[in-house]
Order: sequence, then C-alpha cells, then structure tokens
Amino acid sequence: MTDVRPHQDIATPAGDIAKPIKSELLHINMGPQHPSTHGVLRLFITTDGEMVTKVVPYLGYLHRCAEKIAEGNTYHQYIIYTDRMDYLAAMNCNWTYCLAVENTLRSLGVEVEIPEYAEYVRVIIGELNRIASHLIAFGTYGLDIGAMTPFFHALREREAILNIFEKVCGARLMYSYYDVGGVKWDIPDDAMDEIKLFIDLFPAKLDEYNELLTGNKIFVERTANVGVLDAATCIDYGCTGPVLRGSGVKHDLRKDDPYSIYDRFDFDIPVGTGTVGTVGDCWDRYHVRMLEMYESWRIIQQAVDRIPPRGEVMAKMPKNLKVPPGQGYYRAENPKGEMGFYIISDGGTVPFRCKTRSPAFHNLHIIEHVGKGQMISDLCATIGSLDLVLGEIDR
Amino acid sequence: MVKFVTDIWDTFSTVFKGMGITARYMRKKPVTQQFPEERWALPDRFRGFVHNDVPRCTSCTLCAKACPVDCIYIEMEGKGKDRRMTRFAIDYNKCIWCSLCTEPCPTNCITMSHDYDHSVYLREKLVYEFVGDPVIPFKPKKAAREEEAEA
Amino acid sequence: MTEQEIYQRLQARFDDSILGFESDIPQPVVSCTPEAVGDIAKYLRDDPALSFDRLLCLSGVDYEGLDEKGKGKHREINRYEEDGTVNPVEDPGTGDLAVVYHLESFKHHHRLCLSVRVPRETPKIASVGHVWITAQYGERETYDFFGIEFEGNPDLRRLFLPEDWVGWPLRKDYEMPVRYNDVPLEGLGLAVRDEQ
Ligand code: SF4
Ligand code: SF4
Repeated sequence: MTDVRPHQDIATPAGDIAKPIKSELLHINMGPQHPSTHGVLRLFITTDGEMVTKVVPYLGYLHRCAEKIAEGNTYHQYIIYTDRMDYLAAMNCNWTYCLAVENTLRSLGVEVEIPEYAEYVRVIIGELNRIASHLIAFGTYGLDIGAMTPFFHALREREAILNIFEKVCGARLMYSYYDVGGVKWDIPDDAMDEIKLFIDLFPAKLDEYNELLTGNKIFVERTANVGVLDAATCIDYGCTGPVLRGSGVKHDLRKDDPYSIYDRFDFDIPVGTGTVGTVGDCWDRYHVRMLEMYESWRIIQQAVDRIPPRGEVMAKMPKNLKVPPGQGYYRAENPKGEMGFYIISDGGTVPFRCKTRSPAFHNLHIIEHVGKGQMISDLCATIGSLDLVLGEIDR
Repeated sequence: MVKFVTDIWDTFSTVFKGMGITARYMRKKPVTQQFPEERWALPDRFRGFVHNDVPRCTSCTLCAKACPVDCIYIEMEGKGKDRRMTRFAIDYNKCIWCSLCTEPCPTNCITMSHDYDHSVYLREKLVYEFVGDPVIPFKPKKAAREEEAEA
Repeated sequence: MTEQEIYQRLQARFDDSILGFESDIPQPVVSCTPEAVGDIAKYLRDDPALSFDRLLCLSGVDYEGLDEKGKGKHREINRYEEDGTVNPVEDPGTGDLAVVYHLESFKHHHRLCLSVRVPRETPKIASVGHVWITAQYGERETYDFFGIEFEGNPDLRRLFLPEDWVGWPLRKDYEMPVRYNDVPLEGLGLAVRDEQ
C-alpha cells in the first residue's frame, strides 16, 4: 500500500536534505501487539521515510461493552466491572464509581453518611494505588525509551503496595474493595505496619528513580522537546490528569472540586515547567508523574497520622440498593486523569444508563494531533508519556 | 565545542550514576521468590477458589443471585418437606473471585478458600460439582432446636 | 453563572431552538433541538461570559422503556438464560434517543448539562466536533453504540466494534446476533452438567 507523493508537501526536518527527493508514503500497522503501545492499541500510521504524516488509532480489541453490562447488573454488582476498566488503578475506578452512586443518592435526597474511618481508608488506599499506577507508568516509560533497569525497581515498590492490598482486601489486581457507602473491610494491623514501613522507605526510592532515569542524559535527549502539547490544544482535546498538568495547567479535581476529604490535606499540584525543554513535552508529563508520587506520599503520610481509631467501615445502606429516579454526572481524579460516571436511574436496583468518561480515551485522541510530523521513535516516546491503559479506553 | 564536551560528560556521569545504583543492589539479597519451591504466606483475607460447605447450605440461592457473572448453578426438586438440592455447581471459568457471593449467605457456608492453583487441561473440568446425591437442605432453625433439645 | 442564568441567556439568543429547562433537579438540564446544537455549542464556547471550553462527557442515551413512574421497572435488556440461549426482545423500541453533553468552563468554574433528544427513526444531529475536538471521538462512540448520525463529523465510523457489525448494541431493543463472521456468539457458558 504505497502512493507516490512529491517530497515538498510534508515538513522536512530542519537542516536536512537540500534538494527535494521523491519519496513514497508507507502505511504501517503499529500494534496491536507492539510492545510500546501498552496493550492492544493499534495505530495505523502513514510514514514518509522516518517521518510520521498521519496517525489513526483503531480501538476495540479489549471492548467488553461494560455500559451494556451495567444495565443488567445491580449497583453493587457493577463495582467489580469498574475494576476491569483501569486495571492498573482499580481502586480509584472503584472509588469513582462508588462516589458517583453515593453522590447521585445524596443529590436525590437519600442520606449517605460515610464513616470518618472509611473516608481515611479510602484516601490512603486510593493514593497508594495512584503511586502504584504511576510506578508502572514510570517503569514502562523507561522500557519504551530503552532503559530496562528502572522497570524492575518500579515493580519492586509496586509489589510492596500490592502486598498491602492483598492483606487489606485479598486480591492483588482486581480489588473491588470500595463499596457504595464505604469500604468492605478495615485495614488490618499488619497491613498498617506495612503502610508505615512503605512511607518510611519510599522517598529514598523516589530519589533513586530520579537518579536512574529523570536526570539521565540519554533519557532527557529522547524526551525533551518531543511531543510538545500546548495548554489550549490539551483542553480542546479533553485531556486531563498528568497530560494536562504537564502542559502547565494547574487543574486537579482533588483541589479544584474537592471530593471525599481531600480538602483536609496539604499537598501541591505539580505542573510542567519545561525544565529541560519546552513546557508540555514528554519529559514534563513524565516528571509531573514523578512529582505526583511524592505528593501522594505526603497525603498518605498525613492520613496515616490522623486516621481515627478503627470503627465502622460502612454507612447504613439498604440491602437492596435502589436509587431514586434522577441523573447525575460525578467525577474524580484518577491517576490517568478525570474519570466520571453519568448515571441515569429510574428508581430501580439497576441503572437505566451508566456512561463512563474514561480519561485515557480522551488522552488517546491527542495522538492524532501530536503524532503528525514526528519520527517513529518519537511517536513511541509520546505514546508512553500519555500513559494509556487500553482496558479503560475500550471499556 | 563546549556543549559537545559537557554533553558527553553529562551522558557518562548520569549513566554511571545509574550504574552505581545497580551495583549497589548487586550486593543485596534478591527480592524475588522461586515460586513453586518457595511460597509466600497467604493473608487471611486472600480470595481463592470459592468453596461451599454443603451440609450447612440452606439452598436459598441468595449467592447465585448476588453473583455478577451468574456462575453458581443451584438446582432443586420437590416442594416443601421433600425439597432436595440436586445440584450446586460453580463454574470457575467464569468466576472472578469477587467474593460478592459470600456476603448474603445466611449460614456463611460459602467462603473464599486459600486455594489458587487448580490447573486443568479441559475447561469442562473447571465446573465444580459440590452435590453428588440429592441432599436435604440445611435448616438453621431446626438445627438450633435440635441442639437445644440435646443440651 | 448559575444554570438558570445560562438558560435565560441561551433563550434570549436562540429563542425557538431551546426547548426546555429542568431546574428542580440537582444538575439542571437544558434541552434544545438537534439541528441547532452546533450553533449553540459554538456560542457556549465563544461567549466570554460563558466560555465553556471543556466538554467533559458526551453520552448517548436510549430512553426506550424508561419507567416514568420511577419504580425502576424499565424494559429488561435481553439476557442469557442459564443454558446459554438468548432471551429475545419482541417489540422494537419506540422511545427517543438522546445525546447528553456535560460542559465545564475553566475560567468561570460553572457547569452545564445539555440534553438533545433525537427521534428514533431518523436519528440525526449536528456535530460539535469543530467546537470541541474531543467530541469527534465521543460522537464516533455514540454512533457506534446508538446509531445516531452526527452531521458534519469528519470521520464518522464505528470506533470500537468492527466495521461490518450489525445493529446498535446500547439501544434497549438490541438483539445480540447469533453469529459474527461464522463465529458463534452464544452458548459460550459451560453450565451443562458433565454426565459421564
Ligand atoms: S447463600 Fe449460602 S446457604 Fe444460600 S444457597 Fe448460597 S451457599 Fe447455600
Ligand atoms: S466469587 Fe464472585 S464470581 Fe465467583 S462465584 Fe462468588 S460471586 Fe460469583
């Protein structure tokens, strides 16, 4: 599949060829089994030599039509399907969904009083999962660029977090730990000790990561000034999370639209500053995640300090949960960005419609824009910096 | 020219910094486990294969209703006093270890066990039958009364 | 700005195209006609007092069989019986389809929910892909699942499902096909007891 085109049409890299050479466009399938597409993303790219002229993503390899499943399952049963959306941050997906159902209930006049202890547990566990998700993003990004070592270091710390989760809820990946009205179990003592140990050890590890990858000259050369996104484009494409913050927009729902008990904690929102290149390049997005891990660590530390003595973990909820007729769109800040659920209920035990706004879906769209005019190897770097999770894009 | 030299210097210095970390870890004990020989201790809440303690099952089908993927099959015959449970099967092909079935059970007879490695060659083998011959469902009230009578 | 003020502003500008305003619910909804939605979107984004620069969520809804009484007895979607056969839906749906836009403004921190009902027989609506680029994917997704055609979307193809898939899965009267390209789609459960 080639078509011939004179060379002048496309952007030539500066300082390159002086006289126009006739070149051919080449269509390449990148994926669905490409190691740097983080799952089963298929990109149909058109290249001119090494330059990419067009990127078209093809989705659906992981599609399970979770929204249809939602219409046949009760509100409680659907929690476990939200696990399977962003499988690297299943706790946060659970949380967002439970938050959406609780807020819908509240807005329709049903009292949902989440116990104080449960709120703290939610924050601690959610932030731990945010760190775990960013660790994978950090590790696999190194892998995309060609650095193998950081990946093993990242997985080691993630393992510690998963061990904590295993003690807390009995599963290592699909937790379904949050429930509408609280959490299912408390944090046992041995898990609490491990969390405290993790708090003590993590900053040193973070420094290590920074030494390993962040400052590495080869890494900086590969990512600085690559895949630059300005703030306006990001907003236009609906990007959220580290992608938006990497472009210098200070937007974080934990601060801007505080849910749960985030207004009680002291933390900053890191934004991209263009330290080594331009604001909004791949390095900035990567660095925002590194800084966010530190902020999450701060939140966990404060929450563990202030957590009230163990008590009730669930609000008083009816056994057969019914949501009064009404609708609502509620959202929360996930590691990948803003996740939201739009729930329409007509009074029954199952939602009439439950639409998911998944952050990675919107973050993916920008690849069509930013992929144009890049080298193929830079495209890999850009995809990695967007931190896509296909389970969440395809749902 | 200066930039050229500093670039080279930066490259080597940062690479060797990373190498230093690797070298530090070379002297430490590995964090990995050799799985089949060494096994980690499972926490209490570990969610393994679902197990049903049939003698205590009242065959109320609450668990089957709670299951989001409908993988518990309960069949009964007869009415009233003659009611018999002829089948209680769990399809582990479908089960997702969510533990939702354990929550509504009135006698806590369905539990998450600590088994996790049941590899089989055929998918059909993963449909576990818990009831062979038809059994009389457990009646908690009657059992309590009998216990009282014995005491 | 509150939703009430936004509604009044919109009504002053677009008079007939604005159909109604539900104000007694927690997240008030403005509804409008499907033809005008492109212009309204442009106005919502460009008007300095509104400046809705973010499209949070674009969702399609099928209102077929919604229980108006609020008892939750809406039409059952077709489900598998325990032995793996499909429980077919008899009568085709008659209810409206809808597209719901959730908007937010970075500058003013206000939000709006815009709902547009489209008839089921001719589900056509103006695209807002030129106003918020992110809508292009949302529209493709909605087209994929509901069969709503967005006029003016530059690339209206199915997004998740294969190109040759038949039917619109998230409509309430959707019937699961028995086969797709000679791959059987039903009876995948292993409920049958092993007799030997
Ligand atoms: S809920 Fe418990 S008692 Fe009832 S059928 Fe299931 S296992 Fe038996
Ligand atoms: S653990 Fe979940 S999927 Fe498995 S039988 Fe119980 S309810 Fe069903």
